[in-house]
Amino acid sequence: MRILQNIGMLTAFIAMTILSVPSALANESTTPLEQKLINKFTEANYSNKGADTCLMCHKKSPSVMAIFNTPHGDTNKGPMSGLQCEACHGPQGKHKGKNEPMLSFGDDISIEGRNSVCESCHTQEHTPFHDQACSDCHNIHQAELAAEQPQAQCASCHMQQASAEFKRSTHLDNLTCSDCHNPHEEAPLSVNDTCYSCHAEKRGPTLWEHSPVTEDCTTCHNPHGSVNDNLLNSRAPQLCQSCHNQAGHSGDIHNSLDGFTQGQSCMNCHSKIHGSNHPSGHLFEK
Amino acid sequence: MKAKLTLVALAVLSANATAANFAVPQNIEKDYACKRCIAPEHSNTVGIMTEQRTHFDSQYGANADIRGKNYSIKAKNAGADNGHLKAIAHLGDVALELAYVNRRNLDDNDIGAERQQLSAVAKYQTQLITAFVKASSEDKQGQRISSVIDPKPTNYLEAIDHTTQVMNAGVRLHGNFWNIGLAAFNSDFTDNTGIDPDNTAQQASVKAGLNYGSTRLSMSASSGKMIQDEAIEQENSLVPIANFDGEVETLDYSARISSRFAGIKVAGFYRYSDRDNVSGEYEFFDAINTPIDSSKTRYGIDASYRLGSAKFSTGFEQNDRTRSDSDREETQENEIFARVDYRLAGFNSHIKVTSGERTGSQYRIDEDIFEKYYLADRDRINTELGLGYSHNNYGVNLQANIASDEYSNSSALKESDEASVNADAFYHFNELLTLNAYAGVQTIDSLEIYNTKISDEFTYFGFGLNQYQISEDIALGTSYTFSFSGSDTSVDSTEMGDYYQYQHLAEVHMDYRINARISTRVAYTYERHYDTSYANQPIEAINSLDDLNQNFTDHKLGVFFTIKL
Repeated sequence: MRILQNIGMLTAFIAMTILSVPSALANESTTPLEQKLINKFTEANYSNKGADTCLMCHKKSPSVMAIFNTPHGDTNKGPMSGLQCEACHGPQGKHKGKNEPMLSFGDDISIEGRNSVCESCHTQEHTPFHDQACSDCHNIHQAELAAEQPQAQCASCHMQQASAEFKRSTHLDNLTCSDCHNPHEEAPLSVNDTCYSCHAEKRGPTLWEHSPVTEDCTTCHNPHGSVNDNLLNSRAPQLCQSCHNQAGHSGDIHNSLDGFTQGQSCMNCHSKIHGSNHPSGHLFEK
Repeated sequence: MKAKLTLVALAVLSANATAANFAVPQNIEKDYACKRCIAPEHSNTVGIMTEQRTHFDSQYGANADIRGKNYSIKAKNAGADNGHLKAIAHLGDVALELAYVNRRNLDDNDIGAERQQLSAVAKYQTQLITAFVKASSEDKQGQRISSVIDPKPTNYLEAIDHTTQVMNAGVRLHGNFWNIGLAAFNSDFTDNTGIDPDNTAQQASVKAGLNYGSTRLSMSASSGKMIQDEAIEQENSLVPIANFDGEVETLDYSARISSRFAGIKVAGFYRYSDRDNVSGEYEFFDAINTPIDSSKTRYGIDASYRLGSAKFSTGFEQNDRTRSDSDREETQENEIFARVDYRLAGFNSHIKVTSGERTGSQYRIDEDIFEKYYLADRDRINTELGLGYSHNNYGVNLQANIASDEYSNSSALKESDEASVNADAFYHFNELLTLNAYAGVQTIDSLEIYNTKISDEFTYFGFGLNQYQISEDIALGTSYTFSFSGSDTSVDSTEMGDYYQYQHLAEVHMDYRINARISTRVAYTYERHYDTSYANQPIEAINSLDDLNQNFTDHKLGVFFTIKL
């Protein structure tokens, strides 16, 4: 597996480098469209009537008009109280009749170029930053989309996590990504705090603590989903045995139908595995 | 050679010297009259729904989407399982919000829980300041599997009846290039059955952000307490305490700085988290309880550089942990990655390789004891490949991952290899009809001592066809998904039994507009669910629960009425 990975890695790097060198040598400082827009921004030929000019043609488009039902469409504050449509889409210039392009936040504009518009007012960015455009996740003209289908935007990059929706046990059946993650903020190092916001009973502290439980819930659970019950990384007794191979049951190989493999496996006896508050609970049995 | 290098250098310089900047100009003032800037009229709607099921309880709920000048009400299947309701009133700069959320997650054996949360938020927002107070109360009820030794291990269903009440408050000031905020919360947990000990937690935090040109700085710090003071069962006269008086103090802080110059984006971060358990240590009949302290430090740096259509990124991360009263009190983990992105027109791709190594302090275990997997030395390598192409009316994405963990020879877990492929695609036949399809497979193979092999497999595929308009008033849609989760275990070449689950989920719906104001949706869903585990077999040594396997077919007929007000 490791050799395969190394070979794959090397091949892929060579391929990517070969692909990327011609484009670098082409000396394209910006895309041709971007260069036109830079010239337009320099000329700063803004319209005389603002959005009214744009809406003479674009009023028929529901997706354009939807902006007025969003915070960006408020005519008393924000872009619509200033340069209006041209605040984000650039000066009109000779656009009327499609003679000149406008900034449209498509793939033909660099990510830096697209984000430079949003960064004029907003300080957030995806953390950690992986070179995304704000418009990859946010549809500015539709206020409701991000709230209604947050999974859709996250899944376009985080496919593996999103696919956990279909696993035997999953959090994604009635939670959305943003219930646990804030893509604009540093992820908390104390991951357990995020889990405690719904599982307060695990917060403790308990009289007898199980060290990996207090350290990191993900030692045993995969919060997105698992092929095992209860989001477990593997089922008991194998999960427990990845740490406790000879803890009190020396030499046992649990490969038959016995109390170690059936029912709740190790938890048949050690049922308080998240911590015990009983005076005799040091082995998490009570 | 020299000439070639100079050419490359020139290309690099020119490729990045003039990154496009379309920032909104601040110095141009316009006073537009704006006659056409009128929001499209929102259609206020209310509705009712019902879902009649052959295998589960029938559902009844209400839907609403009402927006007035100073208020809005939104309800989705409110009253039914997993429904929610939210009402917001705006009074100048103040907004008041009331919400109810239901989350139900019970399996076919009624194991699981239902949560019902009520919350109220008051929010004040101006250009300079945002402040909020939020109160919420959540009841969680259901049942879970527990076990007791009486005298042989006996599994039983234990009631869940929890209430968690949380108060949050915060204030944030935001300027053009900075923001600073304070927040605090108090959370009280009560187990109404008295099984889990009640506890409380408090935390206060401060966050700040600063933008200076293309440099961003963000910082946060928080300090908290978790307290548990439940009465301790007096099983005999030797129990040294009446109440636990347990307390954990937490301290977290983090900082991140990122900057862009000459086409290079550089970011660095530092995070620290400390858990100090200040609970007492007492001598009980069997043992002495030892409160566990732990701390985590994580820091790293990464940089990316764009070269034409390609972008090269690399980074380093260090992840150190300490914990008291452990076989290994310190672990250090470092990770490096390299990533290349390539985009050209509708095509995009990336490859990322991550390599990590974990070591740590001396083990404090006997020679015949194996190391715990989460503390053992480990080498990790992960390769991720992404390919995507999109055109106006079709697109396809593929992501593949191969990861390998190798543990030290004395670890109880020897190795774990993971491979996964996920793909999706869409095709717009026309403005009203879109086909999307998705599929994926993941395998995780692990090896433990005693030659225990665990092979996990996850497969899914499906498609959706949305929304076929057969006439002005009638539209159809359909979807289907199959998923399979399985885990095979062999111990010392003895195969353990079945442990797998699969599900077929097919849906077809029709939207019919009865007249200009009333529309309806009729939806039929077929679900075939099968879940089996070899651990559910009855044996003499334990009293296990009756059959926990799940094997059912459900037919669901949903009817939704929506009325425009």
